[in-house]
Amino acid sequence: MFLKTPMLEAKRETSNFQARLNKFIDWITTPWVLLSLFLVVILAYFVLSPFLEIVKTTFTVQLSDVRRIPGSEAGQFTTYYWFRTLISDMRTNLFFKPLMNTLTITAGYTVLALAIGICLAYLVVRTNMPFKKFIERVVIIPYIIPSWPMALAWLTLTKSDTGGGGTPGIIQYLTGVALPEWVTYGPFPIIIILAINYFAYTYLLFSAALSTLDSQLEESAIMHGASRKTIFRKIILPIMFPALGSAFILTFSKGLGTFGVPAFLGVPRRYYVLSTILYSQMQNLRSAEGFIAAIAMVLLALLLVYVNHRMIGVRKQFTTVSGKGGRAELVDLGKWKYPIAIAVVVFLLAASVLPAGILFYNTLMERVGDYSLSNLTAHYWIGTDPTVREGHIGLLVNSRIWKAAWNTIVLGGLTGVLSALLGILLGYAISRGRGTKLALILEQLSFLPFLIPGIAFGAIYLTMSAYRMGPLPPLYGTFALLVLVSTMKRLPNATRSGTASMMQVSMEMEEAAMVHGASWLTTFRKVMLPLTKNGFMAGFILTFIGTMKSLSLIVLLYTPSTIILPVITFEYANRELRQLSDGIAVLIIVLVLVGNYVASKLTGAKVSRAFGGGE
Amino acid sequence: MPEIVLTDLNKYFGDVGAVKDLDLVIPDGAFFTLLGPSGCGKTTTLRMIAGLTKPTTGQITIGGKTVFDSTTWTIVPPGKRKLGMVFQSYALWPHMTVWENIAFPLRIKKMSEDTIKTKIETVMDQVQIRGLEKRYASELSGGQQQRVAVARELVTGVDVLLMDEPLGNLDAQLRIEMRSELKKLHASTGQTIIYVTHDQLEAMTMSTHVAVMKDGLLQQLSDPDDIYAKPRNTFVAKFIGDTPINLLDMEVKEGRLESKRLGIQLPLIEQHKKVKGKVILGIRPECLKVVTEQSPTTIKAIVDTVLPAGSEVLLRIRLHEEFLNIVAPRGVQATMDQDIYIDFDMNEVCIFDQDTGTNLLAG
Repeated sequence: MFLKTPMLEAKRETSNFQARLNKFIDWITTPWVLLSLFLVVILAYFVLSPFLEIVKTTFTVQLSDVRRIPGSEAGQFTTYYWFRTLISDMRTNLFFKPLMNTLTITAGYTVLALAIGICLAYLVVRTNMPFKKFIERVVIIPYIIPSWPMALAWLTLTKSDTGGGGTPGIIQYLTGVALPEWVTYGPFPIIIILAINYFAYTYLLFSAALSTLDSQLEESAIMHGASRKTIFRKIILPIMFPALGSAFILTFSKGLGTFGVPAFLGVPRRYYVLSTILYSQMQNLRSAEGFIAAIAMVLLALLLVYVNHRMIGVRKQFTTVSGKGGRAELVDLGKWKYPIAIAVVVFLLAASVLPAGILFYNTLMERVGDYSLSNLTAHYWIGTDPTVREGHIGLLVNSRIWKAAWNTIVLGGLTGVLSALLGILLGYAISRGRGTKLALILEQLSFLPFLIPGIAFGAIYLTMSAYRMGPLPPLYGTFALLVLVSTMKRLPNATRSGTASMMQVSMEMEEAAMVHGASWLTTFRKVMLPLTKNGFMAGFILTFIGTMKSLSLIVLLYTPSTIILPVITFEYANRELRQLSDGIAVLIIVLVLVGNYVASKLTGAKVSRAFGGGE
Repeated sequence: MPEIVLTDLNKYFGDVGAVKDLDLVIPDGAFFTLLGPSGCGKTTTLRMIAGLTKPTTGQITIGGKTVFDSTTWTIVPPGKRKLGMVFQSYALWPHMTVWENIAFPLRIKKMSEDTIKTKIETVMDQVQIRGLEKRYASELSGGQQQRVAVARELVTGVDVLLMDEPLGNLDAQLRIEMRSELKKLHASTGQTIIYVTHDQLEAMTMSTHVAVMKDGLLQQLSDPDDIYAKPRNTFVAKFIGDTPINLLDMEVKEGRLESKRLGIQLPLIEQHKKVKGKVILGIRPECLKVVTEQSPTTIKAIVDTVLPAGSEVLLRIRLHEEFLNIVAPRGVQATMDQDIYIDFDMNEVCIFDQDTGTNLLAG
């Protein structure tokens, strides 16, 4: 009576038209579907279409190039730019050399950063090295402070008055030894600086994985008589390999489009990478050729993501690492305990405090290059007399600097709120639609800005903002443009943290409200948003800080009224006004550190818990 | 008063059928349990009634009102079905206090704060959680959380309460306590309760109706007694019962059940006469009696293990290569490897078809 044979034919589909229509309406009015569709439109518009636009530009004769391309008209299809960049005699200087330089630098600093990060993580998590508390606190600082002020500090430290000329650096001043030029400019210093900037990333990933590693895996190896070295090589590293692979790829792609450091340490000696060649092309009004460099960077990043996906698989990351298992006994470093700890502390101080110190000292000098006490002045901070020092008054009394500082904070704040909000919405749509095509599209679209280096992203928006963008008026020169571009660029990070926090909220939380007839908006406001508050705050802080120190994204887009601090530094540094450029760099470092401190105190969220950030 | 009717209900996730061709009538005021192993479709069924999962095809009516119909794709959203639901995780909102949690559904309905206050106080008394108003979910024990979750659903005065494994997260002691509380709650409110569990004991102890499911298909719908004594097939027989039912392959020959392999013969009683061919004999462990004298319904076996369990003794006996479980009263005389006589109460046996597993004795 109650038993029935299973229905063997395929599920019976709803057949009549009215039912189908109702079914469609029912589907499309599902909150996450509606939200997803809306977000897809936004992302397609602000992320995908700009990218397609630059591809189109590289095949279209630009108005400024009509005379360079005989017999052409603006707007015509052309392969001239691609030909000139990839095939003509110019190809080495325009493309292949910068490409090779980019690869050399990224590979170099990635390997170095990984090595430093792994060693530090092992020392902190697994050995009885002293001063751990201090080290754990300081280790994140080189990652938080932007990389390009470090480049400025490096210049001050290592410059010499021989070779390329100029003023002596601190080392030469103190020791009389003129360091060779390759120490000051070119790939060597760029690799060092970027490695210092990014090693914390590996450190965080690796130490997290290491501290949750089941100690029984190691202990059973000890029982078989394996030495510490063997255990590290044969057990720990292989188990950590997936985490390592991800760290490698992420570190590699993070610095792929880095602009500030190669601009300060490479360009003066005509050592170009893709990002700096892009900038110089844009400056020379050769945007189409610049865009080819941008496309190359995107393709390179895409390739990396693909390799990461195929070889390592993001999801496998920590599968071998079990949450349980006690902590293994710490490795005794013996008599090396203190020497190693001191070396680590010195290194970390040199990577965090020293650059800021050097920059600050630089701002106190009346004449650049003379490091004696008699040369000190506070003029570049508080001087108000416009008749001396070529009319430059102190930073703290310069209204332009104050305006830029205010702009910087506002930009960081607005971008932080906007991208955190978008991130939470995207996270909701993606986590609720998990497994559907729509969610997949959304996830990939929101990841796209990660592939487009900041400088290229800026370049894209530079062209776009000259025209109306759909319902938006031409945005060039407005502050809104900077907020828009920063928000879009930060979207991948925001989406990732938004999705992660949404995934943690059980569906039942939402359903429990739905059962009582709460509308979606009420549910979202009263239940989902409060529950993801921490994720929201973490996303906000990351974006806030990342945006305040970002140079590459804005350097092509700013106008005098929308200027921000990093850009002013860049301006001053290019004009060799080192006291002023370094002073602003110090201001930015202070701003970022204070921002980080205040935000983490206010919210309890930790930046080190949610990686991301920018150059 | 709502009677819930599911008609020809199907739910497919891709090509996988979670619930297939389900027809159910859930009478008003029933304590109706959906029982089955994980993946049998019981939670999906509950969620379809709640409106949280949309069926692929079929109809659902609640109190005569259609809340889902795939032929016209009519859907009434969960909030308008006048149901309460206690989730497996309780789904207490961790950022709200107990009071705020319970107040939520009332505030959605825009009731005045005075009404809200009275209602919450009443319901908190009812489930005995007065004094916890200001606590957050994380500050409550599992049992308290459960009570709050129930209170949140009771407070709006719904006629139907859905519960998805509500006792699953509690420890054994508390589970037994909550069983009788839920039963009392059901008796006092007269609500229809639709209850999902994989724990057969929970289903047996509390329900007025039990629907056993397997692989998305309804296996049997009846009252607990019937399900225990007259399982419709071997799956239900095995799934129900604390100590597993004994199942023996036999053949009907000349009015007797016999197994050459095990060397046993048992007489068929009058009601069994229509049974033919290869069958499975099923008998509950407590329907096997340890006896000292042989009779036609007795077999001889060897004691394999003796497991005293306080109130009773579990015996595992060996019959050639087969094992049988017996629940014997305390003080039964048995030692390991000893010969023993076992009497089959032929009025209590079930006989299943060997090929289909269906009960040949049940109507």
